[in-house]
Amino acid sequence: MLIACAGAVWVIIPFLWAINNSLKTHADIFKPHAIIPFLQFTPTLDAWNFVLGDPQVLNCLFSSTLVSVGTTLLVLLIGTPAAYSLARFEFRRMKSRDITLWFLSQRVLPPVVVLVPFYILLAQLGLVDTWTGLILLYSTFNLAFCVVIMRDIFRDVSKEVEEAARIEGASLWQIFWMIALPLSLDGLIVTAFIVFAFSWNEALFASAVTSQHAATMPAFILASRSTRGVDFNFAAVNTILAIAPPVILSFFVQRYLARGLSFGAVKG
Amino acid sequence: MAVVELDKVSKRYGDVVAVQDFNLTTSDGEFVVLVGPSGCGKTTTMRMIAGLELITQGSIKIGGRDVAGMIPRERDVAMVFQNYALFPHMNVFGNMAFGLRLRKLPKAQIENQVQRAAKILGIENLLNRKPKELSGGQRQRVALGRAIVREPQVFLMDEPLSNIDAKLRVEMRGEIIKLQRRLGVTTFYVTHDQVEAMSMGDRVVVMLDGRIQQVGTPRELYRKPTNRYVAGFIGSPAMNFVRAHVGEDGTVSAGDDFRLFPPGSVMEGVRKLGLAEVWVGVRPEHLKIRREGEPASKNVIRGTVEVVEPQGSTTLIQLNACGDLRVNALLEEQLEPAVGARLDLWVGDDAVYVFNPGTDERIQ
Amino acid sequence: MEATASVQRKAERVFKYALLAPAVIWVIALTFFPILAAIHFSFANYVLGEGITGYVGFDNYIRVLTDGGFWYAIFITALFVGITIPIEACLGFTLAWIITIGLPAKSFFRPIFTAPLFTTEVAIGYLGVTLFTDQGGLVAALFNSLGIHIDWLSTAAGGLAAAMILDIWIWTPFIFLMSLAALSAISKEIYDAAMLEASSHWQVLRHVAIPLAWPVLTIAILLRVIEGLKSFGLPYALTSGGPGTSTQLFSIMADLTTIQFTDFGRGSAMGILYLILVSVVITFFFKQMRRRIE
Repeated sequence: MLIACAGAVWVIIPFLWAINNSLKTHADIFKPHAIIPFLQFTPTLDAWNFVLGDPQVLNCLFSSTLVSVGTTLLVLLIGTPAAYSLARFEFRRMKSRDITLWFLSQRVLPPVVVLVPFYILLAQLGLVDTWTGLILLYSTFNLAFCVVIMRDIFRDVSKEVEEAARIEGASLWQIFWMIALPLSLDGLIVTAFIVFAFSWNEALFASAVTSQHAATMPAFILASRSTRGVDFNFAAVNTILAIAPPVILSFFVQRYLARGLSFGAVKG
Repeated sequence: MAVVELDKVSKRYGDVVAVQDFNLTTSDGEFVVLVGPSGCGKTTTMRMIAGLELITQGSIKIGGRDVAGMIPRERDVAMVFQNYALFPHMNVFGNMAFGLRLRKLPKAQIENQVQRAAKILGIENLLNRKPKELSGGQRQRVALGRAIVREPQVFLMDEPLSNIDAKLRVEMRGEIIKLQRRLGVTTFYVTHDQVEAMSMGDRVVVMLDGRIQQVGTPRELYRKPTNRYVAGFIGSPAMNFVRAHVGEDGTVSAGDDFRLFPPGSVMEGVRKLGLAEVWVGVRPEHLKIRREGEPASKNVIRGTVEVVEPQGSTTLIQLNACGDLRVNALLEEQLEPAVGARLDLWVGDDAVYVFNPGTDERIQ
Repeated sequence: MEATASVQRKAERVFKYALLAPAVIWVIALTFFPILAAIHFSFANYVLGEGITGYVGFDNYIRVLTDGGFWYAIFITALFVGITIPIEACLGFTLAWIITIGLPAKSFFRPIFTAPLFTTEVAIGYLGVTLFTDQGGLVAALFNSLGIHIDWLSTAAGGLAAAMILDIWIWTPFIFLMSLAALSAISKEIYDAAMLEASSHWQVLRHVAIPLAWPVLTIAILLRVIEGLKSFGLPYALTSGGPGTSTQLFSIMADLTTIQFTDFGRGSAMGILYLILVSVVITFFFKQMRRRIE
């Protein structure tokens, strides 16, 4: 029990610190012993007002949302059928397990390797600094998660139920659409959440490929290091804005998370 | 209603033969039971009829049509699974209406047919519930309802009662029989329980290792098993098998306390095959205790009682004859021998079965 | 008869490939070709604004391989991964174990334990600056009050340590979640049987839980290693490789080379070399993984 509480404290501290910082004035940030609000410093909403009034920040939040949601939808659209195919059918030349691992191996690729080629590709397509461009990139990286997680989920759908549907007259597509998918809703939620969170938090490509128009929150935060080097109270607000959506959403999908994140390693 | 013909049907998975040379022609509306231990091929055979497995060799005809290339939908069969396989995300009505909806029947008609089927099975009041809210028996009925609502040509049932507790099972057995008689649909029923097979089937197919051992009415299987396997499989408690010497005098014996006289025609067969040893089979229920005053019988088995198991209206005893020969006998309740008592049992001539030790076939 | 049976098989084949194809094509198109392009660049000299001005053979590779900074970056990355992951594994598993054997208020603790995983790395890194700074930073203050004085952000060791602490904060939940899944897959009966024989929770943990959860744990660690070797956002936001280049993980160095120095040729070579290095390491562990994932 003690350990759990210690753990909880350990987890919460940075969150609280961020909130703290966001309530400080610029000068207060680096003052020693300015830790407890009201007691050691006077909290103010200045930083919040400033940041929330900054249209660029709002634009970034919007971009982040758009890109993350877009990526999630695209990934689910392409990845889920593939996952079902890998879960239910056998392939002649390769085991579906190996194909799944191949998808997963895409994650090994250091982003840096493809950074330049991707940039050039987007440039040629006229998609630099656009939401579409980011969505394209992010979908590629996150497809693996969708395939691996959903494959595992689909394999748990009772084969007998699918056979019953077949006997009742359902076509292969109808079985997928009317039986397998509805019964895998849990997995879809987890996958959607994970893809959403990882898209939302991605920084490297976001900062490389966007500037004014489609910058996401992480890109903005990275950029503001150089432009506003020491305004950490503003940064704290940005931090809170940036981490809030995925973290809050995570509370809602708690139930499904453990199951979904086992990547097919846990049987039964 | 249809006649189902299976002609030389085989199923192979690579090198493994699951079903070999299965031949059967049903009559219209017949209740056929496929029975045998796990892995004997009964479920595989049924799945081939359903279209869930492809046939390696042979042909299957339903209602005169060869179903080889047809997907399950086209075969017009319905199946009840061991685990019911109800669609968890639909309510009972949805489960039963699923097939009809796929066929794009008008809503009113679907409503009608589902209601009718639900009434037959007594589940009209459950139509709005989801499977997880139902008991095992109720789920079973829904599975049956889903099967009958389409009015298919053939019913296929894969051990539908194995997940139900014993008491309910007997009740459901009767209901399934009544249902089948009422609807008159040709039915295949798979089970590993020979009691179920015997009590339900018009004809029973006993299978082992992918092959049909015998096809016949329950009576035929009981009275005239073709081989040792069928003889031992049918009937509970199982038939006693004793290795015996063939005597010059037309007896088969395994010692002084075990000497039987099979019918003359049988011994003729034994002599023709030139066998020195045979398997002798006697059913426990055919062994009787010789009472005072009864005429002595030729077929006597003597031994010491080792185990006495009262079973209500009968008593199962285990007799130790000739040293280490164990024989089971099912006696009427009034006669309850004590452990250690010496007992004489006799059996009628026609209840002595003789089997060829080499081929396990019954000698007749 | 045989002909029509194969029609059914063909329909099935079309279906399964049709479902799988978009994903496969997408991945191939968007990773295979970029990698080829990167290899292409690595043999070239790229000047911003002019494109490829000439091919230099293995020059880029040689320059990278002989650059002490490159090996240093790899060393730092390996160090980073080598220290954070075992700690994450222990912490994550322990927390999962505690919850499994019956921690009260589970629905309070579990969400909290998983939350850090979904934070934005750069944001946390940036926040870290204020946490570890000598001037008013919480962590610095904590350590100081214990009498330990550490130069967090002004030394390499301190910077790395700070980055590692934050990395552990963020990624422990990953192992935590997978351990939870693994532990809850062990049937309660096994736990009960073990508890009857063992004299303490610790024994059950050691002899039953860990062996049974081990397969999943290795996969979790492997996945962490894959991601960890690519670490960028957190360390960069915290120290940007500084002071100087002393806390430069590999991805930071590569990013600098490619984006800020726009030396695409060298950057690509760097990336390819790293890819090869990492692939070799991972492939070895992949073989292990193949046996575990069904």
